[in-house]
Order: sequence, then C-alpha cells, then structure tokens
Amino acid sequence: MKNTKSTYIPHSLLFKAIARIVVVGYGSLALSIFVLFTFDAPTAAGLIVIGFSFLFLTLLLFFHFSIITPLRKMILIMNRCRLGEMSVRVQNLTHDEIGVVGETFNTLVDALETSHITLEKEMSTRAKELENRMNRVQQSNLELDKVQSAIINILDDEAHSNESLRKFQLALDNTSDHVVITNTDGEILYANKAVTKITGFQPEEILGKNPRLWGGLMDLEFYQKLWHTIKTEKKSFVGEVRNKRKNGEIYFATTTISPIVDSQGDLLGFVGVERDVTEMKNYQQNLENLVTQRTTELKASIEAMTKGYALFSPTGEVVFYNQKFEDFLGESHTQWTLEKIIGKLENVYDLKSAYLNSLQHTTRDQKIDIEYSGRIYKFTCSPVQDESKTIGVLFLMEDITERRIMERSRDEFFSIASHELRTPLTAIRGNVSLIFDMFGEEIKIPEVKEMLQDIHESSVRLIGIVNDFLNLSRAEMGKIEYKKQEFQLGELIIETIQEYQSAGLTPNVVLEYIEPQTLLPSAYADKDKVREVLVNLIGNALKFTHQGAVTVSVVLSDGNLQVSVADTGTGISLENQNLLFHKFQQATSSLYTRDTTKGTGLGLYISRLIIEGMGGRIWIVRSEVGKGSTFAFTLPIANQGTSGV
Amino acid sequence: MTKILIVEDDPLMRRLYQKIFTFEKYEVETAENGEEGLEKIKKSRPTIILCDIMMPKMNGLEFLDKLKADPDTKKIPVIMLTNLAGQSDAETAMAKGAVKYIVKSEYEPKQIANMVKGVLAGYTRDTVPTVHE
Repeated sequence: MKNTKSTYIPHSLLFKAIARIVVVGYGSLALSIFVLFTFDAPTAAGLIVIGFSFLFLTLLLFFHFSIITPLRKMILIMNRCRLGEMSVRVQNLTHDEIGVVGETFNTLVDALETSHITLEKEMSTRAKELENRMNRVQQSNLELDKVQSAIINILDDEAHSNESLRKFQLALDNTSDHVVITNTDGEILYANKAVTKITGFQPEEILGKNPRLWGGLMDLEFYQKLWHTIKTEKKSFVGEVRNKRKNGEIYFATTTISPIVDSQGDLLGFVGVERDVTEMKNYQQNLENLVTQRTTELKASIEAMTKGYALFSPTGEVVFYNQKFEDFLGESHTQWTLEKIIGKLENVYDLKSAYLNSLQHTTRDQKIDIEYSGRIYKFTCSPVQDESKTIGVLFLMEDITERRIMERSRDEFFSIASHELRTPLTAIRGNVSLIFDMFGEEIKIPEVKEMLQDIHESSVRLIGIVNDFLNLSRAEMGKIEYKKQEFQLGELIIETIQEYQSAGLTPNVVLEYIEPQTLLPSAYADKDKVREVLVNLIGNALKFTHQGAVTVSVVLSDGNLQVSVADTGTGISLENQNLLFHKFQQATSSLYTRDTTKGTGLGLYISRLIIEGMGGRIWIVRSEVGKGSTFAFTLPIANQGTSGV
Repeated sequence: MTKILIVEDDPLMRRLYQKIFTFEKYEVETAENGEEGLEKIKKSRPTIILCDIMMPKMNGLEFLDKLKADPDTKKIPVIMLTNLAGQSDAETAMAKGAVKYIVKSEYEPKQIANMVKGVLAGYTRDTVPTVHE
C-alpha cells in the first residue's frame, strides 16, 4: 500500500499552498479596507492598494473555484477508485483542460472496470465449475456404490462382501459380451474387459465418457426410442446396432440396455450388454445374397420354362407368374389376381376347387387335353409344401398341342403300318402253307422242306408281333371297346385249356383247371378279351415250364372273381418282377438276352391294359427262380345293377 | 361243282384264295371290287361268295347291300373277309346278311377252306336278320 501512496501527488501540499495564498489575499484585502476606513480620507495610494488587493483576491477566488476545486474532487474520486470503488466517475466536466483530464480519467476507469468485471466473472465461473466437478465425482462415486450394491442385491442377496463383488467382476470380465454400466446421464462408470475386444477401447479410456464413443451411428429415431424405453418406461431395450470400433471399423452388435432401479423405483443408471454379431451378420448377409442369387436364377429358369407358371399364396395372392403364363391366358395384366385367373379359365377348368383342394387337402390335380383358345393343354395344380406345411399352390399350364398331334400321327402310323404289314405276311404264310398242302409230297429235298418251314414260322411270328403292336396301340389310345356280358368264368377257362390241350402240350407238363368247391357268381366282362388274357397267361406259363404243372383256379375275393395261373416253371427273379406288365419287358432284363422266340414282351402289358380297362387288376402273386410263378387277375362279378344288359 | 366268287382288291390275297379253293376242287371266279363282282354274278351265279370289305370303286358293304336287295341273289351266302381293325365293319356286314366274317391274318389256308365248307354244309340264308341294339 505504501508504494501505491507514493505514486500519487501528495494532495495536502497543493491544498495547503492554495489555502495559504487565499489567506494572504484575504488578509491584505481586509488590511486595505481597514486602512482605508481608519484614515478618513482616502488617499490615492490607499485606493490603488485597495484596487490591487481586490483584483488579487478575485484572481485567487477564480483559481480556487475553477481549478483547485475540480482538482480536489478528482483527487478524491481517484482515491476512491484506488480503494476499489470502480463505479465512481468524474461529474460536471468542464470544457477546459481540466475537463479533458477528467474525461481521460473516466475512460481509464471504464476500461479498468470492464476488465475487472470480466476477471471477477471468470473467477466465479471457475469456482463454480470446480464445485460442480467435485459434486459430480462425489455423485459418481455415490452412484457407483449404489449400482454395485443394487447389482449385488439383484444377483445375490447374501453377497454383500467384496469377495462377491470381485467374483462378480471376474465373471463380467470373462464374458465375451461387453458389459458397460453408466449413470443416469450415460457416463460410463464401469466397463468389463470384453469392451476392448469389441470396441477396441481400454476400459480406463472410456470411464466417465459416453458410449457414444463407439455408437451414435444409428438414426435419431433409434436413440429416441432407446432412451424412451430405458429412461421413461424404465424397461429393457433390445436392439441391433451398427457401431464403430476405435480403429474406425464398423461392427454389428445386439445390445440389451436395462435401467438399474433401486427399491424406491428411482433410476440409478444403466447396464448395457453388447454382443458382436458381425460375423453372424456377415454370414447372414452371405446367406441372403445367396438366397437372392438363387431366387434370381430360379426366376430366370421359370421364365425360360415352356410351361405357364403361376404361384399362389395360401391367402390367395398371386406370388409370381412367368411370361408364358400370360401368353397362354392370351391377356396381359398389370395385376393378376387369383379371381381373374379363375374367371378366365372358368369354362374349361375349375381352378377354384383345385386351388382349395391343394391348400386344404394337399391333393394334386391334373387334367389333360384341356382345350383352351385353340390349343390343347395339360393343367396341374399342386400344393407347395415345406415340412408338411402348405406354403402355396403351384399352377402349371402346359401346351401339349404339338405332342398330341405327334402322338396321334405316331399312333396312326403304327396302326396303318401294322395293317400294311399284315397282308403281305398273311400271303407269305398262306402260300408256304399251301405249298405243303398242295405239293408236300413232291418236296423230296429235306433242306428245301426245312427252309420252307422256317419261312412259315417267320411269317407266323411276324404276324404275332404285328398283332401285338396293333392291339397295343389300340389299347393305349383307349380304342378298345369292351362288350361286357355275363358269363361263367369256369366255362371259358375250360374252353381255353381244351384249345391248348388239343394243340398238344410238352410231354412232361400237365395243364389243369381246379374247379372251385362252391358255385361262383358270373363274371361281368368282355368274354373275348378275357380269353385273350387267359391265352396270354397260360401261354406264358407253358412256355417257361418244362416239367410239372400249370394250374388255373378261380376264387371269390373281396367281391371280385380272382383267376390264378400257377406254374412250376423257371420263375422270375425279384428285380425282374418289377419290369413285368410294362411295354416290351420280358422278365429277362437285358436286350441281348431276351428270348425273341417267346414273343415281344408286350403280352403282359396288353393284358394289364385290358384287365384294367374292364375294372380289374392283374399282378404277380409270387415267383421264385427255379420253383415257378403265380399270376392273378380279377374281374368284377355280375350283380343286379350290371347284369341287366 | 361248287362255284366260289372271291371279291378282293389285293392281288396277293386274291391269288392266295384262288389257289386254296382251286386246290379244294372249287370252281373259282375272282373280282377286284364290288362292281366287277356284280358283273360276274350276272354272268354266272356262284354257290358262295368271299368278299373283302375295304375295296376301291365299290366296297364290300355296298356290294352286300346290292346283293341282298336283289331277290335273285339274296340267297347266296356271303362270307366277309376283314382285317383286325375292321371288326366293327364286319359286324355291320353280319347285320346286313353276311353269314360269317373271317379275319384274314388269323387263319391258315386249310382253316379258311374248312370254314367255307362248314358254311356250305350248314345252311344258306334266305332272310336278313333284324338288328338288335
């Protein structure tokens, strides 16, 4: 303070000097007046003295009021300033040098005051901040304590000891999910080791910070929802997030954030558990890509299909259809609906029923030879199933016009060719027979006779083949007309057996009919066709039986007549049994080993077509290599309803 | 001598039948179609007629109709020759008054000769049977 004092002008000196001048002035003035009045007659000298004294006094007064007083005021104000009173200013400034000094002083004080206020403000802010920080740290510690105790309480009521806490921490540190505990403001109070593995940050690095450090990449809506759930509703939030590791790498995680609430229901903080699912996500993405790729491929394949393709959902939406489908319907639509398609095909196909049956009963519906706008189609309506659950209905339209034309011309060719072959073959056979009839005795050379016999046999065999072909093509075209009638099956069997017997049998083979014990009902079928089948079965049995017996029997079975033809012949191996009843299949499978002397292999196939055409069934009952075979077929019996014809 | 008329367009078959019946000591007359057959009948009446169904100019069924419509010829027994596919035609022919039909490819010459003999031995038909449906 002493230093400060010495820098100012010692105001008392100035004051005293002025005071002294004033006192002298007034003194001389008073003396002059006294002299003047004491000496009655004013002298010129006395008047001059008085005049000077007055002038001097006036001058002194002027000094006193216009210079000394403002200076004194200023000194006072300066002193007040010096003592810290920054609001004071020099008032009633005059327009002279003193006034300029006062103004300058005021400006100086203004500047001084401003910096002073700023300084003071800063000081108080700093102090407040410091206080806040202290508070916060204190609060954090408090919260952490609360959180810890809350967690401990949640986990184990008895585990209040540090040991439990340590164990708990150990457990948290060893989990691969990263666990973060924050206060209510989201500042991290605790983070386990896994946080480093997932985010790349060390736990110490992130304490006191916000998890936004690695998050914050989702949209605003996501975070709003998150905060609303955990803070307002005080419920756990589960979601999938896209976060960023310390090194900038993006990762995907499933996150569960739960509020920590004390017994009074007050929010203490949050626990966030995050699991890195990037790999899973990548895998899933790959899978999705693959699915997309496959779908594209599949769609391309479907588009390339020659069939019209439409897929319906169980709720009746059209999921997908290809261009061909529209082409076939002859109409393009921006939005096909199931109703529109049903309506379009109304006159030729009941798509509605087919769709419902597919959906409800998982039945597949197929209709061929549907004529629609000048073409012939095959329609297929089938359920699409996924582990026994119907997930859709597939509808296919196949244009079979060309195929049908081809088939027709093939069948016609078959038929015409067979007819054209038969006449010359009949002529060959007839002529050779006639040679033997007319000139048999004249053929002396045995070789010539044998050659003629071979020609005859060849023609016989060829006629047989051509007959089979013709029968087959007619049966397959459904052109066989069955003239059904009532007849006694037993009689027909006996007749057939007698024909074979009169033609002569192999010496060691017996052909017999085992008559049933009871009288059986009449059969209702085409007698000539049944004879054909009997001839075929008995013929086959005799062909392959070299010793033993061929026996024919009839029984009543399930309301049908069942005819069995059993032999003691070569038998058929199991694998070859499956080939029977099919086109051109002899029981010996290979093309090279087939026995062409024993027919075309069409016999059983034609028999099957005939028997099935009459509502019966034909099958192999048993067969064993070396022991023989049994074939059977059924025929419907004549009853009240059918016998009236 | 028994006189047989064979009406058949295919020379192979015609000659075959001709030989069969010549061998069997018949007097054989042949015609290539129905028209020619009718002309042959005008000249000399046969005991029996073997007639193919599918022929150009006049087919077997038309020929049969004409024959049965004429009181002079309707008593002559007619056996129809047919192929496997022509079975329904053969049945129509039976309804029109044919006595039998023979599927050509199914029989040996001797069997055909026997069938004709059987028909001749048995009967000759005067009336056209009514068709039952």
